[in-house]
Amino acid sequence: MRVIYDVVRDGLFAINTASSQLARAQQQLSSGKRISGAGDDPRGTQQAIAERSTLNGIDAYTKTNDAAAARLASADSVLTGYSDKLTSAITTALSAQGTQVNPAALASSAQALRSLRQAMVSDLNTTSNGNFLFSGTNSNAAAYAQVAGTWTYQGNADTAQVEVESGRTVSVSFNGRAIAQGSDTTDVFTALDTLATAVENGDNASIATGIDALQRAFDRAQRAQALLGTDEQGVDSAQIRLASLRTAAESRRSKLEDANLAQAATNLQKADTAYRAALGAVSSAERQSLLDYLR
Amino acid sequence: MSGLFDSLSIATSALTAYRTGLDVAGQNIANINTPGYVRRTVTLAERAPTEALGPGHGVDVLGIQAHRSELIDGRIGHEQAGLSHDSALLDGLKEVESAIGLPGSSLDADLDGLFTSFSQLATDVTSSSARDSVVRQAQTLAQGFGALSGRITELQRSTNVSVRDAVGQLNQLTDRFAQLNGQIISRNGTDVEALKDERANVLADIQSLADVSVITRGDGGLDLTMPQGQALVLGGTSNAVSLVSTAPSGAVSLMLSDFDVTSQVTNGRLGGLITLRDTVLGGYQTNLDQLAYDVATQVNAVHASGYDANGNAAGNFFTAPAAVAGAAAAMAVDPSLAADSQLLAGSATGAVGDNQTARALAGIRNARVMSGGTATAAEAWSNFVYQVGSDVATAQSTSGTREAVVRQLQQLRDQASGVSLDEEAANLMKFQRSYEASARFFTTVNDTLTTLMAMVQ
Repeated sequence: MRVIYDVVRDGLFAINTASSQLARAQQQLSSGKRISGAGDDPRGTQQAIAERSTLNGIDAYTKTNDAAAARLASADSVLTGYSDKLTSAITTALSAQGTQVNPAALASSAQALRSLRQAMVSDLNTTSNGNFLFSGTNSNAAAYAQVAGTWTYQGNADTAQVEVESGRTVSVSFNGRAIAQGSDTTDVFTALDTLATAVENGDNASIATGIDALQRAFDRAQRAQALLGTDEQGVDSAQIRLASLRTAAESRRSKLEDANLAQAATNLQKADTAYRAALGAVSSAERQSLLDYLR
Repeated sequence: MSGLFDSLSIATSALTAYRTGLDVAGQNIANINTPGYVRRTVTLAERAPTEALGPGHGVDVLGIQAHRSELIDGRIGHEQAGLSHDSALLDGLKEVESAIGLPGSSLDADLDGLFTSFSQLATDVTSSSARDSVVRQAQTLAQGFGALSGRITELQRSTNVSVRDAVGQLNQLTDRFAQLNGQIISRNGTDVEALKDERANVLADIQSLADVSVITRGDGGLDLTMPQGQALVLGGTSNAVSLVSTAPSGAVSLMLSDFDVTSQVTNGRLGGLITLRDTVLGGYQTNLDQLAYDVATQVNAVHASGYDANGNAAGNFFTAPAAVAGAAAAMAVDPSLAADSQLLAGSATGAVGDNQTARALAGIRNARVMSGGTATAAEAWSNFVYQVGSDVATAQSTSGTREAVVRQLQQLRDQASGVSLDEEAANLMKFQRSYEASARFFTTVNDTLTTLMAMVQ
């Protein structure tokens, strides 16, 4: 059998093959990436895109959670202050009841009630990033303002919801009227004004009516705060779940995209050995022929 | 009965034969690196005796044989055509693979960026910076689609230029092939091996460009035809392939004797380039256009159902694509919206704090509304990437397999047709010794004649 060894064709093929494997191992080790192009692992690349999309979705939820948590904390703080002021107003009104209270004390109590009313209006007109929290979705208008001498709700009954995780939403704006008025015929601010007048006049029957209205307003604030607290807890638990999901997705992504450095280092060593072997084989192929022995 | 002068004739024939043998070995060694060269051997035959008890009249050189293997050459030509096809395809696919980038640094990141900006808008729908961010992300996405579409189009154009060049090469080669054919036919089989070597080289080059059928003629010539029979070369005459451009792409069709033979060229480098230009890149462009069209129309549909920051009914978010074809290249944010992000719809009711439309826009991220309602935007993109990656991997694998097959066939051909230095060295020694012996015989006969002449003086 005639055996012909073509150094250029056969030798270079072996060197090129080994060189290609060496370059790939070097690329994996230096970049830390297992995939340098979609052709390296089409299915893996496809899955990596899906995992990255999952990660981006989780990150988007996380950002939404952060923003929602800030809004809810702000609203929670406002409602705490609002409830405290209602408690003060009730206490003030109770102290003005009876026949033994002197006019100066009644006037002082009435003044205190009006101050509390003003502070509570400010509470419900709190803004977050320029948006009124308690105006429903009509967030560019203050919740309550006096229009022609009458306290008027300028928001609406709708609330803005944000999705804090798949399928779970929380409100980040609130219906101020539901808190300030509910099913009452007048809002709490009008009730406070009426109560202040009743206190000034020593009208015990009207004071009692006013105290009842404040008590109902307090209950509404407590209910709103309880709902808000539930949403805050929901946001917290969603954040924990999202962090867990992110860790799992990141692990899957890394497995798909990132090189196993120990494996890559081993492959590099093997490829280097193969490359040197190919070079050695080709150089030895330049062996002597019969011509060298013919003298 | 022969005389001493006949002996001199025997010696002379032997000297001639072995010098020819030495020349053939020298020619083989001289052409050991000549592409396509087929080893030669000298064929010797005895000059038979012409009378009873005659020793014979020496040796004749019957011919110099070229050890050509038509079967292996044909198989190499076919496999080489496939290898050239795969290489051309793989080169183009590698460019697309490079253009689509890696996960997280391509259109997938742009798509996610847009939907994330919608989510952030939903958390603060009145924020001007959130609105501006949405517009910027949308512009980035549109530019990403446009850039990728442009790269594919540019690759189609450059592939078309390569097709033109390859056809030019093919015409030059078939012209040369016809010339060689003509010379071989005219020599009627005499002293044609060198011409056949060159013709085999030209044929290999032709087959690496296009899959042609080879028909052997009775006169020693070879005819070349397209797969469906249109003649490229008939004897000493070649028919040039002409090109016809199609507007507006400028894609060229291959015409041969008034027949459009473009679809017949399915192998060789030319076949690979045509497949790349018309089928592969065309398919990628269509898929990319479909994704851009789906994204634009889905976002537009949701956006147009909402209200902008001024409480007015919103218009389109992206410039409405006229058709699927060209949607990626033409993708752009609506000019009015790009100029004023307050025209971005976040509200479904007109209330400035309502974020239902922003949420619905963000919700497109997870909605299977692309590719005929079967995939999310990220899935549609990943399917596209998978298709490209799969095509690259298949072409790499096929190309590697063909390369191995071609190499094995070349080794087989070398076994039959290649020059072996060891073999030629042995032949040199053999013919040299034979020449020395014949010269010695000549000297002996000459000495005998001299002795004879001395006897008669």
